[in-house]
Amino acid sequence: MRSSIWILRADTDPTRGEALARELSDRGVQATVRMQGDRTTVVVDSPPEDLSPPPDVERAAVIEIPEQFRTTRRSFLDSFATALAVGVAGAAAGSIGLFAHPPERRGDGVDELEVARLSELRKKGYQTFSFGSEPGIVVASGTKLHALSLVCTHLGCLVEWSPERRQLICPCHRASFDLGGNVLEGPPPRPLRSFEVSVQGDRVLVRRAGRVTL
Amino acid sequence: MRNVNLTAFLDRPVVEHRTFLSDPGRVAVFLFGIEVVTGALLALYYRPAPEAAFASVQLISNAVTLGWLVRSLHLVAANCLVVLAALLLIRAFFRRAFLGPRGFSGWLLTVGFLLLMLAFFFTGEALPWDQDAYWRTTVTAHLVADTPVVGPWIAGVLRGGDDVSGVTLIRLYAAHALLMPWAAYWVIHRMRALMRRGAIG
Ligand code: HEM
Ligand code: FES
Repeated sequence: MRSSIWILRADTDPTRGEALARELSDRGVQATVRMQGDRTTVVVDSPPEDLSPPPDVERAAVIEIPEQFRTTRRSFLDSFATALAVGVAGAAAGSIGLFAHPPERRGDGVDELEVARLSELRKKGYQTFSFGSEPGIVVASGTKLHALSLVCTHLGCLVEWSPERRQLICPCHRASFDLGGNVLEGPPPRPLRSFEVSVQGDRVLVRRAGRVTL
Repeated sequence: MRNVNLTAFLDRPVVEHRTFLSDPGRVAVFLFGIEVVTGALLALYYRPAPEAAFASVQLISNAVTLGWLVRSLHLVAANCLVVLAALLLIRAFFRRAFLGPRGFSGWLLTVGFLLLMLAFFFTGEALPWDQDAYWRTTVTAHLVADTPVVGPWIAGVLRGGDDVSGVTLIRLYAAHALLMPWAAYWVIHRMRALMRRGAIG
């Protein structure tokens, strides 16, 4: 498409551009007015052959804009919609990436804990501890030490140590476990997870083999 | 890159007074699409084991970036699907859509769609495996077992045993995320085909 660009003289009245555009549109010619600094520019679209610039135009030029580079309202709308779609798709992909990246978990990386002094453990009988989010207990029974997870294998309630019954009791569905973690009664499908216990001097250490619980 | 052809989209001829919502088949596809995407994302973290299920759901809600959003989207779209299926059935009833050519198969599909969405909802609700889920599942299994003749058998298959256990959870999960999605895909596809021919609604 051809367009004429008219740059008005610097000393013309600021309203002159608008007046010119109106005059042109009365003749059926489309024109847009732009202010650039103190200069008024009038862009005339598809100027008729007989149109000559008025005297207060300082410089005039005719340019040819190839069809594919013209920004019409429609092509602008298309680009805008494309940009919007790309933006939304990008945001969705980014969010999915963030979601898929696993969060840090407390207690991760800790697989061995010093949980008690042997002398105190013998006196008290048991001691609770926690591998991050997985709580456990170590119980002294005769000469042996047993370390178990407190997470019930049924629905994950926390079991409690009952010194009188010498059993671990789950309050949720009345399950009980012995010191080996074995299910004595109730719905749990598997024994409690057990940990390895070792004694170094007076220090009682508990190790877990893998990180199972979330 | 090709532009989104918005102007062509806006220029295309449309039937008057038709909107997105007036094509329920399209709404069903949209909602089910949300379920598939969010469901697949939830499955990245969800663990169908009795002692880990609740913890994994808690992890999604509290620790995973945008996890609460994915979970809510899954739940909201699930509710919308059940409501949509119920509305379609009511509409089909009042329009007597069960009469006429293909009316009966359309009616069966509409009923099947609602039952399927309810089955999705029931199995999905059980997945967090907390106290509520456990007891709800136990009660539902009893209800199912009371069905004459086939009840006990169905309840057995559902539970994977005589009682609700860890096996039940795995079965519910397999049904929810592995088996029923194919059925839903087929039902929605058939419903849309019949809707286009005017046999449903
Ligand atoms: C391919 C399809 C689907 C997959 C892979 C999928 C997967 C999942 C997973 C992994 C969960 C557990 C996470 C959680 O509890 O938040 C879940 C929960 C759930 N799903 Fe789906 N799902 C699908 C389709 C559906 C459909 C079609 C519906 C309903 C009509 C539905 C309804 C539910 C409900 C109500 C929950 C419980 C939501 C909650 O506890 O917050 N799901 N789904
Ligand atoms: S959660 Fe422990 S018995 Fe059910």
